[in-house]
Amino acid sequence: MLKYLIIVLAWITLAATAGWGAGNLFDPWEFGGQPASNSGVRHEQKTASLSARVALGGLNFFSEYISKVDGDRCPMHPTCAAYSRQAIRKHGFLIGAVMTADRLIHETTEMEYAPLVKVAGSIRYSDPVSDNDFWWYQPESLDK
Amino acid sequence: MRATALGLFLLILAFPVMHPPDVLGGEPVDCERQMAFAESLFDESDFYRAIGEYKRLIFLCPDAKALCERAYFKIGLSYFKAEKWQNAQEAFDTFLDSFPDSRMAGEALYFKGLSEKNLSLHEKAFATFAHIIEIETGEPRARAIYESALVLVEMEEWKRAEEMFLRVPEQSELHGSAGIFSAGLAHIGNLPRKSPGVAGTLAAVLPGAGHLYTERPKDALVAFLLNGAFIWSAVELFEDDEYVTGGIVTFFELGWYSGNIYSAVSSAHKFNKKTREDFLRRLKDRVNLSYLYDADRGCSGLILSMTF
Repeated sequence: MLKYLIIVLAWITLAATAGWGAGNLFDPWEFGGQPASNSGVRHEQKTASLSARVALGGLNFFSEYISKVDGDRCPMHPTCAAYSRQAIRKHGFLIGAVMTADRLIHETTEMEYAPLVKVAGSIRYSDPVSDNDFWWYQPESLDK
Repeated sequence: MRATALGLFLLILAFPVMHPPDVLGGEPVDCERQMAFAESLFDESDFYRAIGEYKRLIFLCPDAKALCERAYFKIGLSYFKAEKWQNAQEAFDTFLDSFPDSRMAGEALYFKGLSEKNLSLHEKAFATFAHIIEIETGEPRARAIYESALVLVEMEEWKRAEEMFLRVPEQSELHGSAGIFSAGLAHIGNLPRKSPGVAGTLAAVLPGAGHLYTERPKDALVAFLLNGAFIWSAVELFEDDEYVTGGIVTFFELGWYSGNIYSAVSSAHKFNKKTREDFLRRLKDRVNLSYLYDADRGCSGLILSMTF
């Protein structure tokens, strides 16, 4: 009886270890210390105002309940809802809303220029917030 | 019998403790062999492990000054080759602090400058290359001038970059490619350009017109139809005395209208950026540069290939 118990325990331990290993690919460069940042740039996040929090709540509701039924139709990365969330978090409600409208207007043409990225097994067109605010927003650089 | 077996088992377990392997003490460390092992890992491009072995050498052979000096330098170079720019910058700083009079100091400064350039720390990179220009002569100096000019290109300081490229001495191998760059940069002002102000004004007057100006007809159609539909429905609702619904539709229309103006201005900036980047890419494609480090001779260089 004890023999079988030990075999079962060993099997569970082995399976758990294998599962853990599969989910955490070992990267020695990131091991045992702070991962080195190569961008040289720090991104700021604004503290969300009441209007921003309401908008973010609405976006979360859309993503959680409507988008799931409506289906995944956005060809861009980040998706329009995720882009909107990022824009609002980065620039606040007003500019975030304007940038969301801009994204919805420009996404048709952007697909002709944007680089392709593979996200969760599907190919999407990359159009991050930074590609649309570069002309007026300078992130805080380590150079300064 | 059982007691004997247990005794033997414990003896086997205790054997490594009674006879520790040489690595734990005993024989002195062969610093040259340690360095050779680290170098072999570096040559195999196994930079992570190479760094570990260089650090082991520094720890075990602190009195082997020449080897330690080289190990510190190669740690920086390993980080650089592994494209860990920030680590590389810090490692070269450590090297320069520890060995300011080293014959590898110029090389270390050069790679430090390149790491800063790759981190987009333009001002720092420019200062580092300026320091090299001051202290070095010959090809290392020419190389630093060339890299300074490339930093200025990244900073979009076209005139200064053009002038800097012209400073590359005639006897340098980089003179030809610097000439191509400076000649190309002289024409950067003639590139087709869209005015963000005009795009924004046109979009404000007629939604979609700004996008037509920036050569985005599909976006123009979307902007025109969206704004048209919302303005039309708002007008209809107000005419039917549906003030609350009209107000809600107007609120959303304000978003579309501002988004249309923002999008037109952004499109103009994107057009200008893309034109500039395409131009610089074509210029860089004509002058293909890559870095070389000769481990045997302990010197670095630029490999230049040009398309005619």
